[in-house]
Amino acid sequence: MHLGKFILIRATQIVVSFFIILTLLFVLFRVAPGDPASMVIDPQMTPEDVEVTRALFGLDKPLYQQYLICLKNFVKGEFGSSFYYGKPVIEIIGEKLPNTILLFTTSIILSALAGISWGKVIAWRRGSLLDSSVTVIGLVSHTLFLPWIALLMVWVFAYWMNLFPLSGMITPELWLNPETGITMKVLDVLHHMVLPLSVLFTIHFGGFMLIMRSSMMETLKEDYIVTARAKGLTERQIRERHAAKNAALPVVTTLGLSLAFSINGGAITETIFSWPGIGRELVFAVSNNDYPLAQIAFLLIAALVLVANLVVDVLYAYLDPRIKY
Amino acid sequence: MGIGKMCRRFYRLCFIFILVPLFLWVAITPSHGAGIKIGMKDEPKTLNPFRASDTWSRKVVTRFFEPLYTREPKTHKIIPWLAEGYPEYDEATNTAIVRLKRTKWEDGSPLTAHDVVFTGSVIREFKVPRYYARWRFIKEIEALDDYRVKFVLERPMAIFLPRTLMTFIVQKKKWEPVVTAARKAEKPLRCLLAHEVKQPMSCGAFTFVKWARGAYIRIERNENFFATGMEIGGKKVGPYVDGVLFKFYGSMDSAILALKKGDIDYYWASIQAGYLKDLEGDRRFKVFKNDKNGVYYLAFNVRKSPFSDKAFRQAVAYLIDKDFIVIRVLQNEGQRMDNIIPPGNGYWHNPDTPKFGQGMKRKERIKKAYEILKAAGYTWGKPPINAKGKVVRAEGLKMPDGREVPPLDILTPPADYDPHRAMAGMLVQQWLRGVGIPASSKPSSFGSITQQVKVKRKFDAFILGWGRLGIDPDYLRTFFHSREDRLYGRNPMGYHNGWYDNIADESAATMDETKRRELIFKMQKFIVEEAPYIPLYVPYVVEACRVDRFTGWNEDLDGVGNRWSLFFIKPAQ
Amino acid sequence: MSLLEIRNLTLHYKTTKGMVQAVDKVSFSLNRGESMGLVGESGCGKTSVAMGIMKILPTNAVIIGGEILFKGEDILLKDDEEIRRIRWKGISMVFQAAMNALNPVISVGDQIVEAIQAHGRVSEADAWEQVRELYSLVGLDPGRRKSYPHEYSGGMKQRAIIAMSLACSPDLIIADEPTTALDVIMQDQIIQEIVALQDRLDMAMVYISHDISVIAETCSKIGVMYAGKIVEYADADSLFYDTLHPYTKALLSSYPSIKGEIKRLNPIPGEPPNLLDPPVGCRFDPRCPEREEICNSHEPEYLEVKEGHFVACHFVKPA
Ligand SMILES: Nc1ncnc2c1ncn2[C@@H]1O[C@H](COP(=O)(O)OP(=O)(O)OP(=O)(O)O)[C@@H](O)[C@H]1O
Ligand SMILES: [Mg+2]
Repeated sequence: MHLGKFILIRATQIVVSFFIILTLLFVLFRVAPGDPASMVIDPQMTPEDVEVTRALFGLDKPLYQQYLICLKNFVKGEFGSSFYYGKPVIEIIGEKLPNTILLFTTSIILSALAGISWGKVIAWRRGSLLDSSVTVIGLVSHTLFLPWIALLMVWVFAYWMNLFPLSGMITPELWLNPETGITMKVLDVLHHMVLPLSVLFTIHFGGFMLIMRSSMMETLKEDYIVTARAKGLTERQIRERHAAKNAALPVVTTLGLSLAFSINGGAITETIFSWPGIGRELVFAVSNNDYPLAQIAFLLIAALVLVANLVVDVLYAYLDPRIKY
Repeated sequence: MGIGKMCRRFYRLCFIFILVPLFLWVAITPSHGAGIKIGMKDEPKTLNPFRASDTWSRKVVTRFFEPLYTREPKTHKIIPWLAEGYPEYDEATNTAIVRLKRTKWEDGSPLTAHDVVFTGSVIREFKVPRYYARWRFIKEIEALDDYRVKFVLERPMAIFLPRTLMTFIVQKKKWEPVVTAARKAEKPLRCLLAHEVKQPMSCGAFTFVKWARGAYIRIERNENFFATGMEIGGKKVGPYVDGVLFKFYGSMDSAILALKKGDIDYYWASIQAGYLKDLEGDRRFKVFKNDKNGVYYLAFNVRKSPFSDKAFRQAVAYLIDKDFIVIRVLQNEGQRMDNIIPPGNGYWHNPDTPKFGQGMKRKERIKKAYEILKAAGYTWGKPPINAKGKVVRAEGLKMPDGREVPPLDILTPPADYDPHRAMAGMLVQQWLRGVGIPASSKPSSFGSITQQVKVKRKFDAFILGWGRLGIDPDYLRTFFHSREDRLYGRNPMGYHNGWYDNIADESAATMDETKRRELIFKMQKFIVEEAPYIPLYVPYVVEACRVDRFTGWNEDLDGVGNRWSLFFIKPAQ
Repeated sequence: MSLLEIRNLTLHYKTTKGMVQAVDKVSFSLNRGESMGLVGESGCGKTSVAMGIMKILPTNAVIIGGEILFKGEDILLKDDEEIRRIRWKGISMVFQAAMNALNPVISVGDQIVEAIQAHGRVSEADAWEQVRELYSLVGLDPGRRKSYPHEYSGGMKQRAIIAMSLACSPDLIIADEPTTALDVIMQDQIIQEIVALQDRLDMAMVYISHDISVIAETCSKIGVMYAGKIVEYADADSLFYDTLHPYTKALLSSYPSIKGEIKRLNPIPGEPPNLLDPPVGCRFDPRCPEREEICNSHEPEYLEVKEGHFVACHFVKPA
């Protein structure tokens, strides 16, 4: 199996891309006007205080030195401290990333699975009422304005029907109660997850479904589908075994890409639902010019996308025997 | 691999996802636990008082750390807090003796003069930003005994009592090891500020219980709080609530819903006008509107013409219709400003400052500006007022030296950051063009504005605002003093005036409050007349509280979200 | 009773430009163990007939009329499940486009196994054993049975498809140009094998080709199709030595004789008609060397002119 070698090559590519991204980020953030110290508008900040603060952040050094320090620390595995929190960025990431992964991967996987299974069914029954109605739903879902749908769902399900919490990840009152057991806590998190998950699901589902539908339509024209039917396989066997598996391949490819594009929506969702994740932190860090935190968050996203694409490639190879590495 | 199997699994998952929450909905009915639930827009960044400069951290941190003196609600009169009586000041030696009350930290140990000396020394030694300026003129600080502190000042300083002695006090025992470690670090200040306070040692009304990152902070009543039972402003200090639960809401929308749903009792931030209708009709809430301690203003780069010309600045002041901005842009949720010190700061605010153009119609404004400019030697290709006295489109405005008035950019924050300022910028642009001043409003990112204004100091004009001005008016000195015209300084306009510098310095050295007030009043009148700033408006702080759950909110400058509210509110029967 | 009897099968395709009249009143019958060839130019509707028999037509196909009797029962009247059971077990098919007839993401063996398991309770192991036998039968290395289609050469794929078509020992096998994608030598080999297998396994076969010389080698009966119709139908000998329809004659002269005589090859002038709007009278009329007035207005009847010899031409009448 050459898979090992393939992964090795890709890993090297990832490392190289990493450094390029790091450099780009460094330049981008420093080129953007305003540094975190001088941006503070506080009547109590004397010019001396600003100078002291800049020195604290290492912003008093020339740019090339800052870059070298950044590179050196990065190689050493030190990612610095957030200007804003004053804490090592790794700690902040460690706090927030799991929450994002929990919400994000779940939503992507669920929407991909649902998109695939619905796209498959409606392509199979193309032209039917089911097909046209679900396709319209998919198109709507695909083009929905995220903040709008998020607020609508909060309003309807959390406020009006009072089925779910408005925001956050846990119920403080419940967690503060020493008698609360672990099951209850897990259920509580799940309960909080439902709405943001549904929003992300709604946003992503349509895209996956439409891709799956058109891919499935193409696949159904293939000769091997006729063969399968001629062999006397059941409709279900034809649909699942012969059509869907081939049709799902392009969806898997888009999965990696869509992950990159959905970060933006993730940040909005996290903000609306006060979900303590990395996306919200990133937006905050960028608007605060908190370079170290923003840098690491972007790098993480880049890493996430790169790794996701690697996983997709490996998965693709697993799904499609024609691909060999 | 079976896609089909995956799908079936998926449906089962969906099923669980729908069922579990429904079950939970029945199981969890958030109990109205003891205490008040307060929503905040963001999570505090730290519990380290030396570092806590953001609004959210301060809202929590100030529950634990108390100063020697504080201000009475509403009157803002300085009252002894951890201190006993007022400082005994000896003018001859510039020495002040402060006596302390017998108070305790939450661990039961006494809060002593050593803690005060320690706090001051740390700020001075590490040059802690934001605090160093108010401690640097302290030549000596010494504990005479456990309950008496001696301060020796370099010179008389007006801010000694209202700023220096209003600094929070930390416990020496708790912080000594941190400070010792910081001294040894490569960057001592950085080390001190990076110190993570996991369990703050409180001398305040509340003690820290738990901070679940990203979710909540819980604090509880401090049974040892020294001020409990004291009578302040005619009310007995509590706190009467068992505790406070701080929750964080990333968006105003969800915070308002949380208020209405009962998840929180109060949202500690000003509510935008659009959300008010809903809350005002709800009997559970009371909507409070109070003055904000801030000012939004248009400032000029007075280093260059035409802004260097006072006549030009005043003409601009006449053209700006502040009432229109308040009514149209703020939708009446604020008031016009004709001063740098807001009217809510009653003691220091001078109501008698020039109110350029108040009540004038547009035509009158244009006429007035035209007259001022004409008298100052400005000429037009085509003046804004024609021979028949009608207002027409002006063209070709030239300065007294014969050069054309160059295109002028008014920097404003972008509309998504602050729609009010962006819109005010647009209006000002239109009004200035009315007399032929080629102004254009330039919404720019906050970083870009500060870069141009504070760092490069190359700009024409900008609209920004000050918040959190504090009660002490010392800022009036720093905003216009020529010493502050430097990199990162607070006088980026480049305003220089010897008379003002002198009177400002005098005010800073006047420890007698009445005398200082006279000086501050003069300064206000002078600087508004000079118009390096044109104060525009100050919005109200609009807040909604659950009055059916808690009564006794203390309305004050900057709203009900203040320490006194938390001391006074009582659960409603 | 014939194994397969087709009566007046008429089949159209719905397209945006109109109805493609791909198959028009086609009739023929086939007995057990018999092999029949269906020959005609590209686009004359051979595959459509084959697909019709298995009822695996594309969604835009419309069966206008006729009957397809398999073992005396009309396939067109059966429900999906009944048809499903007839497929592969009763009638199987070797597809024209062997390259694409196999699913690229499923191993070849698996695709045969699933056919076997679709028609009887056969354990996985037994099914694989059968695959092994089938591979030997068609001359494939049984060791390659778990490979994927892209790992096979064209010839191997074709053999695999033949093996697959034999998997359920069908009564009738339809071979739709099973060799078009192969080179000449390979074509010959495969044809020989098919003939041998058909003989050995005693199956009936419909062999479809546009090459009449191939048909001559393999089949005892031959149907000649032109523009959606069968124009001549007879046993091989009568068709070759007593050719009646002008199109058959033209077809025969356009191919090198199988008997080895050197003939001049005469391609048929003109093009087959557009089936969206076929000629009113005889469909061969525009290209027919023997055409007369009547040909472009009246459709010739399909008649048995001699015993077992059917022709549709105005100038060939029953004796
Ligand atoms: N799905 C379809 N939709 C529309 N027209 C079709 C469709 N399939 C076939 N046809 C048309 O029907 C006619 C008969 O096609 P068919 O495939 O049966 O011919 P064929 O004899 O098998 O040709 P070939 O030798 O090229 O395989 C042709 O004119 C073809 O264009
Ligand atoms: Mg064909």
